[in-house]
Amino acid sequence: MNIALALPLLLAVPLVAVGAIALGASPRKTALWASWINLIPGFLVSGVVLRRGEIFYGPEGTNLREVFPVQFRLGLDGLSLPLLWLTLLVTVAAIGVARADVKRAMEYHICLLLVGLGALGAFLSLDLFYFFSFHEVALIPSFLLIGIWGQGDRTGAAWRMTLYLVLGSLLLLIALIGLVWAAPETARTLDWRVLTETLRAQPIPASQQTYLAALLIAGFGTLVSLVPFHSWAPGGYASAPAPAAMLHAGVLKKFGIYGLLRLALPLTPLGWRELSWIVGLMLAGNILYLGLASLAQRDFRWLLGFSSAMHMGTIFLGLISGTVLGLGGALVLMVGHGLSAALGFAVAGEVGQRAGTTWMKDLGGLATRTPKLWFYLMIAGMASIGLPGLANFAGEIMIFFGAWSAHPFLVGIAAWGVVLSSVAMLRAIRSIATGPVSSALDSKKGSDLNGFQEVWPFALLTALLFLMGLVPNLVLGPARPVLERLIQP
Amino acid sequence: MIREFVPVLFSLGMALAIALGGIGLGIVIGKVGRRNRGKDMAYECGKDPIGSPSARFSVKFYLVAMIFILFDIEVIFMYPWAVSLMGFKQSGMGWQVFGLMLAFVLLVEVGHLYAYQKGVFDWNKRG
Amino acid sequence: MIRWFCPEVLLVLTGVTLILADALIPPGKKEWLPRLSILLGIALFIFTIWQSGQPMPEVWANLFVTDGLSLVFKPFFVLCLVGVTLISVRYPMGREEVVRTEFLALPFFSTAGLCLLASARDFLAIFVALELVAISLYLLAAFHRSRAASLEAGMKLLVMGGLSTGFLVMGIAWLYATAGSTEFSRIILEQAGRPASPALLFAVGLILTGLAFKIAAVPFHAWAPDVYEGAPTPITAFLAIASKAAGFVLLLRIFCLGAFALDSVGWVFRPILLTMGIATVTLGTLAALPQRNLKRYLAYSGIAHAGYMLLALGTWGESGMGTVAGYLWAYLLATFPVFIFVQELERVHGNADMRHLDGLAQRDPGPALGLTLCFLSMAGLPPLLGFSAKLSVFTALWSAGEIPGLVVGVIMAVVGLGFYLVPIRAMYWEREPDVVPAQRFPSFLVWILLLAGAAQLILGFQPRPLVRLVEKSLAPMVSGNLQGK
Repeated sequence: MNIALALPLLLAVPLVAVGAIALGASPRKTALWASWINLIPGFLVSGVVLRRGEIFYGPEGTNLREVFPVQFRLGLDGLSLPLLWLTLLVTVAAIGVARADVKRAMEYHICLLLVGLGALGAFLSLDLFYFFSFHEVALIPSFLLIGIWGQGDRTGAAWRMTLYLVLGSLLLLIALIGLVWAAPETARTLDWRVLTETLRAQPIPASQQTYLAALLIAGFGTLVSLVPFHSWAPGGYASAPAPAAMLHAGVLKKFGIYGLLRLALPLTPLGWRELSWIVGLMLAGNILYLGLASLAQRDFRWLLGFSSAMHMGTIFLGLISGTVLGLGGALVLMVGHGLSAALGFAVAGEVGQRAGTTWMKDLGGLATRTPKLWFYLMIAGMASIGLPGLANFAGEIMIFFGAWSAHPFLVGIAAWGVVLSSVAMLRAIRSIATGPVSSALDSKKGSDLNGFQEVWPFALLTALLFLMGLVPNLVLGPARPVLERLIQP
Repeated sequence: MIREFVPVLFSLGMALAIALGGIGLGIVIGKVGRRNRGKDMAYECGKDPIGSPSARFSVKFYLVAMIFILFDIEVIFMYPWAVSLMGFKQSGMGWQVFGLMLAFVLLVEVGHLYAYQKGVFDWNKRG
Repeated sequence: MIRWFCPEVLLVLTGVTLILADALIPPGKKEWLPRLSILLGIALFIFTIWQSGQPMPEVWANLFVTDGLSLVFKPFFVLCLVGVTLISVRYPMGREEVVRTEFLALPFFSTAGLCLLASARDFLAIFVALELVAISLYLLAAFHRSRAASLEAGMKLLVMGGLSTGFLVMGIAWLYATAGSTEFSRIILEQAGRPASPALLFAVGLILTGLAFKIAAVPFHAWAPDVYEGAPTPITAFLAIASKAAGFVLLLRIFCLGAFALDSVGWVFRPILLTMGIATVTLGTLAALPQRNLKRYLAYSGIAHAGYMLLALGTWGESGMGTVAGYLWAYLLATFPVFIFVQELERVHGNADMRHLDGLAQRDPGPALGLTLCFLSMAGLPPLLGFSAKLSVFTALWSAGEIPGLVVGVIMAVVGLGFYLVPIRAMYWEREPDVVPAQRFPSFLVWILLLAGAAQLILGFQPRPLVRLVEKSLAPMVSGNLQGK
């Protein structure tokens, strides 16, 4: 049997689960089983990628002569492999922390599975049509997740987030049309691998590259919440239910960076270089402005939202570093940030469930009252501020070294970002974890994580954070050849 | 070709001149009198008018008038047909053209039958 | 002789048969007539798919052609007819239990006119066919006599339709005066290669104005929301889809294929079409935001769609033309199910107010899901069918270098998503009203809407069938039929 069939299988499993839940299967059980089972095809394709470097599924040959040359093609290489695993595992954890007694459980789990499915499809697609479409699959489910099951100003947050993301995606769509149209007419294809080869042989004229790169940066930048396109992110994450925030901040957001790595860097290298000072300005905004804003937050969820958007600045520093080290660091930090943000939002969700609030003023004494939750809160916080041994540190340090020669000033700003993030996070941990036990936690509801059933998603994410922090080569090994090819002139 | 339309333009100009001229002369030469309610009343042979001028008529008047015009117009199509039928006969298309008119008349007859069955011609029917 | 058995003739004959049956059969024994009309409609649809590629009767040869466009759009119109007949049967006409047969027969005449329009190649044929469509629609819009809104709709449609016909006739007259012919190929032959005279441009402008009324393009759109709201729902659907599509087929035929497919005309009218497109998209989208009546809402959504199609038309190329053809099919598939739903909503609640959607997802998850997919497809969100349509509009604009149109189109697509999310929000977020009507939606509605939603998804992920259709519609002449060459 052809092992490449595992690629469409990765998408089919959640889809079948969605169908089963809609027809009346137990929502939580089905979703959980499906996300675990999906690891099996994940293992199969990773084996091939580790051995051969890439795997591919879909019709061979190009159909250049058609009016609308769309082909359903999936593929995986060293760059998308870590993101595939990030998606699979964060989906497992997110569905793990989703509560069984949530209202309208059927729709809730369907929406979660669809968000995961969208991210998976986007990372796996080779055809730009599907690459774009799959990302949008996640849009409406997240709109509903925030709107129906969210908290706080959920209506405003959901609208803002959805419309912002659609605006970003449409800018991106125009950029994609422009990229495809930039290829000579006989070689116009939607397969980004072929397109990369074509445009490498016949590069786009420099002036055109500049505005295509600008469109790509604006489009993908909106999806990644780059300042000044960020304002949907903190509020959206603060209002979203924990599993939705985990999937969105942890996984879906990485689509934007993945897209820039895949398209902007190899297809419009001149434009990217020319505009890198603007990106530098924007990422400095992310780090300083959002870092300062996170200091001012009084709600733990909002703090996490701002700090998650802030770390995107550091990742972008890796992208404009122009070195394999910096790009690798960005990739490691993508994975690390995905895991730590997921863990952070999961903890915030549990705290909110148990204490009924996430206002830091009203919380206190988490460490004495719920020691296990406190432990995972510490891990999430430490990972986010870049403690050595955890994944984020590995990524950040690589980015700093990689970017030093090209952008020393920005590295200095990013270092200040680490300080800002530490201050914000430590203040939050102090106010939540220490001090007298708050009245909110004192009630009967305020029990600790209870048994294996509630602990395992947290343990899983923690273990992965340590694994990535100690052995970043797990990600870097397969990705290195791909990254080298990306910045090759 | 434009030249052929000059008479039309001329008669249009005449019509406009007479219509506008009448009004214009009235304004220029006429004397503006005093108005009162009696003068503004509609003139009905010296009697005071009874009822509103925009009274509603039975819809039957309109129906009959409409149907009359419809069937009236159908005949217009038949005159040129009748004149040119012989020409078609000579070129061998006589039966086809005859059949076309037959189909047309049949369609008109369907309309007539429909109107008849719906009681349009029944003046005493209510509604 | 066999050529007389073309869809148009059979459509007229069916309408005549229905009217005769209505007149001759005594009252009380007519219950089977609605079913008969549905059966005849479906049979005609199958016949049209099989037959629409055949040439027309010789007598009409000077007036009509058979080409890709007519091959693809005759089935489109007859499909609309089938849908309209299906929902007309259930239209709640007040006290009368059985729907009157005229209500079922008139759409057949109107559709015959639409099919003739799809293959017209002479302005006289266009005028006659357009009147056949329009007069039937005036009657139908005012058919619900006991409702003042319906009468108002009929009146507005009559006045506006008359006005637009006036523009059209004036344009044809000027055209005849300048080009000496009303036939497309002669006009092209006569005018090709020389600068367009002011009289010709004036004629084109008048004809464009007349057609702009039909497609409800800004600034000739104002009648649409009132008429759509007042007319009986099946007729609203017919107006919104078939009549609008006919306008676009005519525009395609006039501006892209024949008559005015001239550089001298395009030089003047490309910017005009694009400007109209920009204005139409903007107004349709922004004015839809505050609407709370589903029929008005769909009217403005239709105006916005017309704007996108005008933008594609304004690119003046083959890709723009194919885009319009594909967009119309996508529009049909996404909009018609919503109209079916709107009628059932009216049956249950008495009107099409959007507040009846509150909490629908909990009461009726199936229809809610189907509607959601249709609305998102209209918004042009991937992976649904509407995305492919919008994508090809944007691609056509990009490749033609029409950046202002592209920018406005993109911004309005975002705002558009905002208003298409309004009913979705109502269905999924709002709490159910305390008083739920006892009457439920019929079970067939669930299946129709789910089927429609599935069609959006499947064709969205694999738009190849639609692409084939578009390719067919671009073919200049065809031998054979729609099923294969």
